[in-house]
Amino acid sequence: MKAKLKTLIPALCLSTVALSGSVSAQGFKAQYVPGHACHGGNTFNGQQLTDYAHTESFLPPSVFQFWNNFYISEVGAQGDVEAQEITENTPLDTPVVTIYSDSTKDFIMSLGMDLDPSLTPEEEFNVPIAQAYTMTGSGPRTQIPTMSKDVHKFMAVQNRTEDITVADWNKAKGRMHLTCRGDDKGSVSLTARGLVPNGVYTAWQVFAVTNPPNGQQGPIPMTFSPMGGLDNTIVADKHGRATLKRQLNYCPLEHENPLMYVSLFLHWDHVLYGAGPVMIDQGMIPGRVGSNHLCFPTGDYL
Amino acid sequence: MNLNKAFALFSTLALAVSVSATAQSAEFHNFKFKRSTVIEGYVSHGVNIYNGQRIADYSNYSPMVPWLNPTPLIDEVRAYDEANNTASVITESTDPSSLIATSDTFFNFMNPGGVIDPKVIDAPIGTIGSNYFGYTAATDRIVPEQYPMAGSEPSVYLAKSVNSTPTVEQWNEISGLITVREKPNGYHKVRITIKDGIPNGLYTLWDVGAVNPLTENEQGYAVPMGGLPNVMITNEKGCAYKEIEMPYSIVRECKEGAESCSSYINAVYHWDQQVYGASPGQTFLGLPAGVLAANQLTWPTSGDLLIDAPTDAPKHHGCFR
Repeated sequence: MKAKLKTLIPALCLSTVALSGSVSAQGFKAQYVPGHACHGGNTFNGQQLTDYAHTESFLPPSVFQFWNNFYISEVGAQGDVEAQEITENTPLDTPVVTIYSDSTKDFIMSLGMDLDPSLTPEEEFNVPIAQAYTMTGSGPRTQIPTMSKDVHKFMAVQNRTEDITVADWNKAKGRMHLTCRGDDKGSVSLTARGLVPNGVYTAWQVFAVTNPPNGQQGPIPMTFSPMGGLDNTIVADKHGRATLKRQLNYCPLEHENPLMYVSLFLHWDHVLYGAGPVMIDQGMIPGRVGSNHLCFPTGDYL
Repeated sequence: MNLNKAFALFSTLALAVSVSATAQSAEFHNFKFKRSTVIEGYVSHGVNIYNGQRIADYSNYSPMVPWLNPTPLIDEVRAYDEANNTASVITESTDPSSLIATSDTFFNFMNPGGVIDPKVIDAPIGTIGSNYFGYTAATDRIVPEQYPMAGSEPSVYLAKSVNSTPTVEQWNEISGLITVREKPNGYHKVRITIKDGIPNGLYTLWDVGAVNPLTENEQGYAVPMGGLPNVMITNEKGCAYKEIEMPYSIVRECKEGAESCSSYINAVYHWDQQVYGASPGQTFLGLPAGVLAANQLTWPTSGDLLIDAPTDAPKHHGCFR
């Protein structure tokens, strides 16, 4: 009976949290965050997904200015010549394609990087993500055929046969519960649906940097790391559902280096790059190898 | 008992017997479809190798495929000798508490005469590390810390319960089950269960076989099992389950005249927390299997088995019990 009560009480607490948004009592804090389909970092339909205006009260002015304007488009809508940014006017049956967006270029420049154009070959853009280029054992990245009864044995294939449309992409949704026990311990529990069936995702925690370790401020007041540590990979099931639970060695609800959003990044090139979602120095940029697909912005609740 | 009640009881009993029969036989046979095939997984220390021994003999099935019939065998993990800072082939007399270490045998086999950084050979696998945002080459890596103490400063670390330095004993605990069933539409449903793998571990599945077996044109192949993505993630108990629908059978007969046949299916453990698309590693960038990943579990689909499976296959598919 005691054991049952032990499991029931936290469950009841979490139910209360889910209904009320957030609670704080005796060192226990919790927050429910709905997940939104996103078309990159903090963006949907060409607009910022989250307005961080409310963070002005506790973020330093320069950090606030960055976050209040931050977004990066990482998926496009197929165009005749080149990929177009997805907007509310984009037909929903348009295939989602790879894109090297202006906001991605601006983001890379803000990191102080100047990519050689040869690192981002044009043929890899405006390509439906189900036909995206991938890494092979030797030689250049290449497109590989989709599996069928005619093309299957003794060659690498993709198991997805249909394009992903803007409507498919926008179906992603989810729920995230963040909890804290004291100021230096926490946990995250995340469920998602509407993801790309059998898609491979990684989960990331993105922070505004207000008090960087050792006082070393980077070129932008942002840092990110694998959600809860490596391995942060999630594979959606055949229905596009996925879950993730992780212990955290910090409270995700504190303001010192606030957690701005958590995201699930789809790797449509079937490559996982380790402790980073992309490999910018090598030209493996967001929009070419993958994109944020489901975003959990926490800013509103901070 | 009136007739209606008797009929209802009979129907219930008949249904119960029917369900029971189906459940009991589901692992091995299905009444509606053709016979299912069950394949037991073998703990592996590389390509077709366990404890320094060959798992299956392919000389009567695919004798020309070099990696199926090599001498010496291709180990991808070794036992680390801390006292001498070296590593040796795992055998049945290896101290089970030895740490799992990297190996250059696969690299030397695929790229004879090639040069590889000696620091990544015969080293505990937890020292290989991962790429990080801002790195400039595939070999530019950091080693994530173990899950840090509460309140530690931000860093790249491993999730709680991830064991980056497994011992030989822990490596050898893995077991697996594959069931293949042909569907009426000609496709094949493949169910795969891994148990007691590395907790929260990153695995990929591969289909390794031969084209034109037993002919002068025989060649080997290795492709992502079921197509890309072929990633499988274990839970905190080291369990993973996946269903794949395939247009061909992985247990098709390996005989002369066949277009191709599968030799084995394998689960590759990626201790560098990365996967590389249509390839298990980056051999020609100095990051081959054996340095960043290795076969941990093999399901032989052809060949003559030479040893018993080191672990018992799971009795059921899935991770619920």
